[in-house]
Amino acid sequence: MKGTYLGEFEEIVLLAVGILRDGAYGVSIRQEIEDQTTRNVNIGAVHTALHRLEDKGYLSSQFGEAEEVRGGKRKRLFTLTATGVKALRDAQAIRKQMWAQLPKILLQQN
Amino acid sequence: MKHTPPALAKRLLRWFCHVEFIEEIEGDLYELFQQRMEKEGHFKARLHYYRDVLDATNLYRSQPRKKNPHQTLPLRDRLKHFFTIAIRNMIRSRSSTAINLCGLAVSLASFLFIALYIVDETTYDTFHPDAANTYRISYSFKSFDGKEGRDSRAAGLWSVTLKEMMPEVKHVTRFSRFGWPGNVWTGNPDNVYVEQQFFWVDSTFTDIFSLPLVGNGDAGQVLRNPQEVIVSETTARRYFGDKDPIGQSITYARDGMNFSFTVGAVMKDFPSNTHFKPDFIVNSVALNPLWKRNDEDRINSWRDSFSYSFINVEPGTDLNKVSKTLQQIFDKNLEFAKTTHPILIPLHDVHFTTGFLFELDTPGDKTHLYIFGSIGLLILAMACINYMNLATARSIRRSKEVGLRKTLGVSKAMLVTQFLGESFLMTGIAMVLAMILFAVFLSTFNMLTLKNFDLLVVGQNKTLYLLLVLFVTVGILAGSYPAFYLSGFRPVESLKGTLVTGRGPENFRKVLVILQICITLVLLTGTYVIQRQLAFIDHTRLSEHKDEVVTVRLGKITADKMAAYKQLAKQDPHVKEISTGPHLPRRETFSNLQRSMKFDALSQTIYSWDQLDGDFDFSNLFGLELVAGRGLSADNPADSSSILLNEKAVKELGITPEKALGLEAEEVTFFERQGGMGRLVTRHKVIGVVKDFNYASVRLPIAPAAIGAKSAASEMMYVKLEGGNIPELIEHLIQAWKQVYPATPFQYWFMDEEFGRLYQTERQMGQIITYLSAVAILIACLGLFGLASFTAEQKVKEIGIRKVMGASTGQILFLLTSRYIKLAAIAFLIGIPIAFISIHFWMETFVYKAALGLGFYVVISLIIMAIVIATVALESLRAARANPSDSMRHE
Repeated sequence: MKGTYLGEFEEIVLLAVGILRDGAYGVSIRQEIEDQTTRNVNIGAVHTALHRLEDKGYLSSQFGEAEEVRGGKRKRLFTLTATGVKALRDAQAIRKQMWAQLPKILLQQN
Repeated sequence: MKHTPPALAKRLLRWFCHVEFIEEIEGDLYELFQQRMEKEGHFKARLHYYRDVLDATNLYRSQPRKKNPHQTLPLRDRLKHFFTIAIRNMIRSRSSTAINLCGLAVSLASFLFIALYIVDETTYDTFHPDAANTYRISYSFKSFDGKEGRDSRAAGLWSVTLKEMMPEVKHVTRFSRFGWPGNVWTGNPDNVYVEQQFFWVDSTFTDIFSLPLVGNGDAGQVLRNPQEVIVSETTARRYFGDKDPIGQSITYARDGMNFSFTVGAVMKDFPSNTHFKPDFIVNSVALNPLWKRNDEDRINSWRDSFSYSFINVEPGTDLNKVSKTLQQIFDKNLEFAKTTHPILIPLHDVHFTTGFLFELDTPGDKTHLYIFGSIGLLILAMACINYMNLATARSIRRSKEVGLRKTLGVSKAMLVTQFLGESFLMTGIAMVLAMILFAVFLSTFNMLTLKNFDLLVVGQNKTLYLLLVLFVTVGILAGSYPAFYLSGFRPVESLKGTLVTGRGPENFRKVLVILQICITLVLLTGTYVIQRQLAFIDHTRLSEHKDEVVTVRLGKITADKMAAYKQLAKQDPHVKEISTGPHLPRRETFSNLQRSMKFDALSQTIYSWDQLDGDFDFSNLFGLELVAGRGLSADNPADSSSILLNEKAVKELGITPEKALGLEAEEVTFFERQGGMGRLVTRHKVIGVVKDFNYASVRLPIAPAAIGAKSAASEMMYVKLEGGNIPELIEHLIQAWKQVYPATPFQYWFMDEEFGRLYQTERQMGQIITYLSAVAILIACLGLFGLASFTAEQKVKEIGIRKVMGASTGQILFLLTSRYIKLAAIAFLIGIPIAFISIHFWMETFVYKAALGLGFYVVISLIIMAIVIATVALESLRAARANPSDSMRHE
């Protein structure tokens, strides 16, 4: 179904939000992804993914406190919604299912 | 120390991104900038910042954030909120709520009644199974004087032959309503009834018409047996009470013959919307001794147009072909085929067909339906107008609410939904009230319209659809303008209180008020004209004494017995005159309508004139005025063959009344005999000329008429009473009747009842329109009252200041009412021409019209003006008399 498809990067962002729980916002999410994947992540890409996921209903957001370190601007804090959790589960289930069907010989080759 | 990100990049970000994104992104970028500053140094941090800003400037960010659908309240809470707010608002403005509910409920109830009436009228005869393909055979003919006439009936052999010739004609059936008057009794001679709805039918009746029986049984089976009669439920109860009617016997007496039948079945009463409603149905074979006397067969005849004939054809049959075949049949079998032409009338059009002789019911009038329908819509529109007016007028009060809602992020669409919802809520409550009104006034409505609706019609599908459509239409109509108007307020202005409502809604309200007054004017003038015309009808010559004249239906009555009765009855001094005569007011359903006359002394022209034969007392009883000559006198033996003419007849002869005296007229009467027409010639001398008088409907012009003294042909006896106790007098007449005619029932009515029937449609229309006008005025007044109170409330400070400056109560009253007077004046300018035109068209249908003049327009306008001023002043007076210190204190 269109709109519910979860891209690889989106999945990672979702997971990061889940890991960070109450402290998930743009900068912290980017940091988390960089730490976990050791790849360089662009903040713009994170924002785009976050907003798209919110549109899909996987995330919800509210403003946090204004902080000096942010130049007096508020953070937008993201949390996973129930549908978001379900989307993650589905994605994992599909992988598991497909992994199980992968011929063993193929895995042994490498 | 803190470093700041590059200003140019920040400006780009702020310029490009939508305001809803800026805070979040700018914050994140700032945080990152600070981190990089520490790790990577000033230059790289700035470079990254530029890159991130460029990254952020995609098109997606220039739009506002999409609303998250999960953020609104649950439906249940929203509904609760909606109802709370709506009901609070209704309670806060009690008067306008009451006005709206009242107006809407009354107009909805009126509309419902009108709609029921119209639906009932337009679905005449549709309950028969294949009504769409059923037609009545009628025909047009030329009478002796060359005038064209139309007869609703047909001769018996036409339809039967048509079926033999055309396979497309599936069924034919014929019936007649022979028996005016026919006497029916049930063994007991005291129990004699005069029946009008005795139908003699073919056994094929059920092939075309629906005839549901009470209980089991096959109507067709019963009809095939000429010994058995089917009676209607009501008739069965009337005759046999609670006894089982099946197997009971009744006797029908006509022209000295008795026919006995057993009740074979009971049929359900016909619905009110059929053009014929039989009380008795018998196979016409049963009356063969009557049809076939004098060596003729009236049922199976070529030229005795005697039966109402109906055919049922295959769908898609070409009617022209049917007509052509009928014409062929005429050509082959009729002497007068050249002037006789068939007319096919669809079954469900029969009710609206006019201009035919011998119709079975009073024809309906489609114009009346249009008039009622438009009045219903107008009244509904007026109630909607009230709602719109009051809602927009009160908009200031709710502007703060709108402003607050908008600030909190409620979209325009949601506001529109809310206000429309409120109008639907109002309509819904009004609908419930309307149903209550409907239930209360249903019996009054039935009495007015002579229909018999019961409360169950509300449960019928068509009524439910109608209610639903009404609900939606009224809700939208009343609510849409206020909804869009209110939801269009700008929140800043409305919260600050600087909202300027502008001229738009003000002018809109003015137009609506003008419209309402216009409608009221048209309805009021219409009512007045209809009432005047009805009063005029009531005062035409013949009906002048109608409430003192008792009409008695006669059977076959001989002259000497009549004389005996007259003597007996006149023993009471209150019985002034007794005369026999034709059925009056003259209707075509009675035989011997016309006589054809030739005046040899003048020319060879044959005139066909109305026949008004009574006995010698006829002209005295009705007070006919002589223009020339003398009246008919019983003392003069020659007068039994003398005649009086009316002025119209003399005019048609082209001579003066004086010259007409002494003329000899030759009258030719045709009658059918087996094998041809019989011809009878009689001679009459004209001895007097009477002034024209309306002896028939004033819809028709007064026709030439000849009045003779041939009481043997009379169908009616007229008794003129003067003073005295009416019930006692009637009892006296009945006692005398029983002595002279012990076997005949005394069936009587007052002549005004009969006139009531003659102008039934007009009277009905007059009454309905009167009620509707009252409703319209009520609604218009309610609206004006509401608006006036609103204006007074709005201007409370202005009034206060004016009073402080020395204005008198009168001046303030003038200030408040003058604008409505202006509006009323404009409404009159528009309304009077409309009223004039519609009245003109309606009056065209009458030949004799009440003199109307133009003064009544002025009078009615003044009345409306007075109502407007009174309504507005009532509310304004309170404002004008208020103490200015009260109104100005809260500044």
